[in-house]
Amino acid sequence: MTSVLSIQGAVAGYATGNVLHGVGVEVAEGEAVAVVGRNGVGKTTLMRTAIGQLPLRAGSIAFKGTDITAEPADRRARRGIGYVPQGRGIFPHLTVRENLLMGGFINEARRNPDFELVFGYFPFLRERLGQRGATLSGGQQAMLAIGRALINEPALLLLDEPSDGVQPSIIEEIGEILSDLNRTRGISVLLVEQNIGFMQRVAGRAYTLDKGRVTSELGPEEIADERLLAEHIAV
Amino acid sequence: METQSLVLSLLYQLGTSAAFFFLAAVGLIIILGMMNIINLAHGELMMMGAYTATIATHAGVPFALTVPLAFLVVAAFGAVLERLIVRRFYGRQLGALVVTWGISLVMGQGTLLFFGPFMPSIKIPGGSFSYGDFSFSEYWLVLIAISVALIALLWWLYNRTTYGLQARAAMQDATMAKSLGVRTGRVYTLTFSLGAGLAGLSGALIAPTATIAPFMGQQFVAPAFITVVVGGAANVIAGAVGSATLLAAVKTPVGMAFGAFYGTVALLFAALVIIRIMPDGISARLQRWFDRRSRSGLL
Ligand SMILES: Nc1ncnc2c1ncn2[C@@H]1O[C@H](COP(=O)(O)OP(=O)(O)OP(=O)(O)O)[C@@H](O)[C@H]1O
Ligand SMILES: [Mg+2]
Repeated sequence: MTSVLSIQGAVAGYATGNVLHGVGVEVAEGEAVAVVGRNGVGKTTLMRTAIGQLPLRAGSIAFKGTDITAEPADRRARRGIGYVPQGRGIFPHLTVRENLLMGGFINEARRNPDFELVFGYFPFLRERLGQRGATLSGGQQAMLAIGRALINEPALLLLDEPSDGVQPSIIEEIGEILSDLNRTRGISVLLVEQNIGFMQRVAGRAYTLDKGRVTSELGPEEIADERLLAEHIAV
Repeated sequence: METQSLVLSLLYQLGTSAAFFFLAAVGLIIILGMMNIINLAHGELMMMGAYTATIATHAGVPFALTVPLAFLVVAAFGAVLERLIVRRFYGRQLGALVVTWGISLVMGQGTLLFFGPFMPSIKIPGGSFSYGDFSFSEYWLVLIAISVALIALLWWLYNRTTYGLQARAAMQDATMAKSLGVRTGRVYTLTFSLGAGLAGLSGALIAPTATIAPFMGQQFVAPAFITVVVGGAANVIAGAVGSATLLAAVKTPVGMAFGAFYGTVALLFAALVIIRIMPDGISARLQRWFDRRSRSGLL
C-alpha cells in the first residue's frame, strides 16, 4: 500500500512551548484513520501541523511520497489536501456558493469545482447558494465545510471533529457520507473525533493521543471495543 | 423652468459632492476593508497621482491619458511599498499605522525637496454651460460618470473574479484561505497595489481642480476617513457608495442654503449621528437586511 500522508516524529506547538512531542501518523491510500484522545491532548495541533498552519520544530511530513515539511499551507492544499478545521472555518460573509468556490483551489491538478458532486451528497446546499455562510446552522456549516473540501476531489481529507455541535440525526448522515467518500471514491481520510459511534462508522483504525504522544494504535477489532475506546477518550 | 433648474442644480451639487467623497476615499477603503490596514500615506499617494498627471500634462501628454498613467505609476509604487515595507506589519494595526505615517512624511518631504513648494496646475478640461440661473462644469459631470463606472468596475472585480473572491475570503479568515490553497501574500500585494493605484487615479482626476503642492494630499484625508468610517467594513463598496451619497445629501442642501462652512459642520454632525446609530456603518445595516431577505427566500 502506498502512503498518502506520513507524519514522522512531529514536534510542534506554540510560543508557550511544544504540544506535540514526536508524533507519528500514517495514512495509506484509500484508508480512513482516526485520531482520538481527551480534550487538550494536541489533536487540533496535529491537524494544523499536517496542513501547514504550524511549522514543524522537528520531524517530517510527506504527502504521496513527496517531502512537504518545508511547504506552506497553501502549497500543501494545492497538492490535494482538503482541510475541515475544528469550528469549520466557514467564511461568514461569503455566500454558500462562494464558500464552495473557495474549495476550488485545493488539488490544483484537477481545477474544476464539481458542484454536482457536492450536491449529490448535500442536496440542501443547492437551495442555499445565495445565502451567507454565517446564516447556516451548525450542522449545515459542517456539511458546507466538507463539501468545500471535497469539491475538487482531493486525495486526502483532514477532518477535525466535524460532528462537534451537530444534532445526532445529522451526525449519522455525515458519517454515512464520509464513509461513502472513502469507500467508493477512494478519498483517504484522517479524522479527529470524540464521538465514538461516528468514528467507528468512518474509520478503519485509530491512533490514541495523550499529552502530545501516540499512546496506542487500534486495529479494526479494537475500534469496535467501546470500553477500550471510552478509556482513551473519557475526560 | 425655475424650479426645474433649481432641482437640476441641486442634483448636480449632490453628484459632485458624492463623487468627491467617493474619489477621495476609494483607495483608502480598499486597503482598510480588505487588509485592515489604516493607510496614513493615502493622501500622499493621491498627491503622487496628481503630480504624475500634472507633470505628464506639462510634458505634452493628453490629460485623458495621464489618468490611467497615474493609476499605473502609483499602483506599481504601492506594490513595491507592500513588498518591501508594509507586509512586515500585517496583524499589527498600530505598527502599520505608524509605518504608513512614516511613508507619508518621506513622500511629502521628498516631493518638496525634488519639485519645490508648488507646481503650476493644469487647467480644468472642458468648459461649462448654464441652464436657468445655474452653471454646470462639464468636467465635474465627467467625474460623476467616472465614479459610477468605478463603482461598477469594483463591484465586478470583487464579486465576479477569482482575485475578488480570494481577497474577500482572506479578509475574513486569512489562515483558512491559505489552508484552502490561496496564495495570500500575492493577494495582499495586489490589494495594496490596487488601493494605491486608485488613490493615484483619484489624485490625477482631482488635480485640475486643486493646487498642486507636496502636502496637497492632507486635504483629502479627513473626508476620506469620514466616508470610510460611516460606510463600515461589512461590504466596503456598498458602504462607500452609501456613505458618500448620504454625506453629500446632508452637506449639499445645507451648503447651498447657508454656505460652505455650515455644509461642512452639518456633514461632521451627520457623520457623528450615523456612527452613533449604526456603529458598524451603513454596510452592516444593509447586510442584515439582505440576510433577512435571503433567509425568507425573497432574494
Ligand atoms: N494558539 C495557541 N497558543 C497557545 N497554546 C495553544 C494554542 N492552541 C492550543 N493551545 C494549547 O495546546 C494544547 C493542545 O491543544 P489542541 O487544541 O491541540 O487540543 P485538542 O486535543 O484539539 O483539544 P480539543 O479536544 O478540546 O479540541 C492545549 O493545552 C491548548 O491549551
Ligand atoms: Mg481540537
